[in-house]
Amino acid sequence: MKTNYILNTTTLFLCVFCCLVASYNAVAQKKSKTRLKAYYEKISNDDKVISVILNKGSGLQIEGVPNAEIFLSMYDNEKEIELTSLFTDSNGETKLIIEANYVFPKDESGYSVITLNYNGNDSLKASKNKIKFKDLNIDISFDIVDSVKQIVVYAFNIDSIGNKLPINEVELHIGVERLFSTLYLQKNETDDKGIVSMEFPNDIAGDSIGNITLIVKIDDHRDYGTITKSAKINWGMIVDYNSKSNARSLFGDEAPLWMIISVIIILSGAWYHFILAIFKVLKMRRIDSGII
Amino acid sequence: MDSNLEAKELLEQNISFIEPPNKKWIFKVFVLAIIIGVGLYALVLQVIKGHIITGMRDNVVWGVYIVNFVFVLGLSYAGALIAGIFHLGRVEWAKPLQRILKLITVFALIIGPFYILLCLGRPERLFNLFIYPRLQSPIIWDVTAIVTDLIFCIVYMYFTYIKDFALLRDITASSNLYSWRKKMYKFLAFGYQDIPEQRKLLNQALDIMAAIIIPTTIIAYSLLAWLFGMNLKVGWHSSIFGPFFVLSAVYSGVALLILIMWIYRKSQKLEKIFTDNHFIYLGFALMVLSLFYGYFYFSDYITDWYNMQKTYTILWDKYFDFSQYGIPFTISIFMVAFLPSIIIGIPWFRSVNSIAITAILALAGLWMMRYLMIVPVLETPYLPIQDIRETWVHYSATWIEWSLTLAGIALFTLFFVIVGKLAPIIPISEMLEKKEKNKVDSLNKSKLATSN
Repeated sequence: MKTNYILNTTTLFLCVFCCLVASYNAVAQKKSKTRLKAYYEKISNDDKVISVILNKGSGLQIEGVPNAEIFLSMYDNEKEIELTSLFTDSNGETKLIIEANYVFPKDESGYSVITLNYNGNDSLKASKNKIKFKDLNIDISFDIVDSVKQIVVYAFNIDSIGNKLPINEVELHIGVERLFSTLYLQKNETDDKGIVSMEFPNDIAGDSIGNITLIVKIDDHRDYGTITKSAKINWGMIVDYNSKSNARSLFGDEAPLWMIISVIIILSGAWYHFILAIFKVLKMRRIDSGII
Repeated sequence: MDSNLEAKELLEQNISFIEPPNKKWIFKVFVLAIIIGVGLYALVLQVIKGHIITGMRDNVVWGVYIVNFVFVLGLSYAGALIAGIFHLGRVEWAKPLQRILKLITVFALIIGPFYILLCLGRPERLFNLFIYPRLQSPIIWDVTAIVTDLIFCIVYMYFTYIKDFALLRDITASSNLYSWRKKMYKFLAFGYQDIPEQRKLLNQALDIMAAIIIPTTIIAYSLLAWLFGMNLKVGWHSSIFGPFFVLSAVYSGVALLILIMWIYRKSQKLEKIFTDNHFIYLGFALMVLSLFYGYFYFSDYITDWYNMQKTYTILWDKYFDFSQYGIPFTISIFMVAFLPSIIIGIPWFRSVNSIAITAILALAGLWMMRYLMIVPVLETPYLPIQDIRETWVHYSATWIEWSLTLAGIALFTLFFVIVGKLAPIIPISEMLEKKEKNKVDSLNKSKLATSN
């Protein structure tokens, strides 16, 4: 009886153990979901950039999938054109830079559509996404009317025969490039003529000859993506970074005099006493050797 | 030397360092070496793979390493400051503590700066700091202060050892001790023969060193405080930081001193050297410092709170929110500002063991307060953190950082274990001088009584 009891109990434990192992394997073999995201951007020299991110996991556990191959394709008159394939970096990100003179095929409503495909692997599920965007151009012009500096920004599209078509109700951010980021001066929508104009302030610091870089940006627009255009003009205040007024300051090349004097006094005072103490110990040794 | 016999007795009674290493000592060294080895492995990984394997990211650029740096340097400066004050104040009862204080100073000052080096993403560029120094930069102030202080403290510690090395040279001359140890004691004794003139010169040198060590450490730790205080960050940009840092340092230094005394007292039966009175005196010092700490902290808090600036409010809400930093903050502030007053202030709780445990808890609390001073502040910039992964917004130390932290503690302990085997952990010569002085005092008193 006792042997049977032990046998039955052992069998039961083995069954439970096997179930646990099986369920663990089932969980382990379950493929993780992946998510493909892409953004369209047109940078200042009119090159186009497609940024792609491949993530896995969910919630706080989202992380990039490195070294994954992403296939990009487009449709031209319902015919699929393979564009290229890209490999993700260690953060699961990759970029495709397309030269300015490349013309994307468009559908009847003027959109260009790019399809992205990730085929998955043993542990990751396949994923797919597409982005669509319209092309938009920005012209920046500078004008001085009655000593007032005016910036005029024109947003337009070019049709198939090369005509410029103004684009209205697009929000433009106008700013100047600073050391770490852009200082935005105005945010406004284009009018019916596709124009936003603003008066340029006189108190913006430029470089040593007054140059500033003006930045006009459309930020993550649903149709046009992100578009950045920049232009240089010498409308900034001339700042002489080497002028004598900046010498001996906290931010200058040389420290203020009071600082130098304080440091010299403190350090020389401390080191003088230190050397004095050393000298006394050396003198102590000479007493032993009978030199004194 | 006349006092050789007495010194030998004192050494033999209390210290077993002259004996060759036993199994227990070797085991201690082995365990500590393993912990240090794991830390070195973590260091190699960090150098190869970069900071990505730590918890530090773009916003929270400082973590456990800088906490350790500030904390360990505080211990060092405190050791030097307290030793200097005790020395110049001719505090007789504190003589047995002097050696431990100086060892804390030097060991902590050697280990501390390594933690700031670990914060560097491009350590090979460190050299630029010395090639292109800017006097206006608090980093240059700090580097200068640390280097100066390290040199001063090592020399000061050595000066205090000279008399003991002379004693050891004389005592071990006829013993069967290893010859390298005899040679080492002879070399380090620096020709000291306890001639009155020599004694006078050495004491003068010690007085000078003690006098320059006190302002040097105060300036050095204030400079470290200004490294934070000069930043326009909520929670850091405060004029109280300099004195607050110095106070925290002295507080943590006293707590560590109590802890080390307690370990030696228990492990080497040094009850006659580290007496109950030592614990009670230092316990009261701990209590007073804890009250000052609470006062400084409250003063800093109420100034921030009264202004109710938006970002300050966000930061303080994090300290009081139990889903964020509320629990560690409450526990730490209790351990640091209130616990010593309860345990040491109420006679019923007061004992050597309870004082030592309070000191351990205060040390842990002070470390945690440093963490809370740094990490939540970096997580709360004036401009909101945007477009960054959620896991990068909040700091969480990785095993790399913890293992290097433990390696630092192990190295600090290892230094004590090794030095404890080469030289006495209590200043024998100074204690003999104390005994002689007591004898002379009692002789004078009895003469006075007879003449009356």
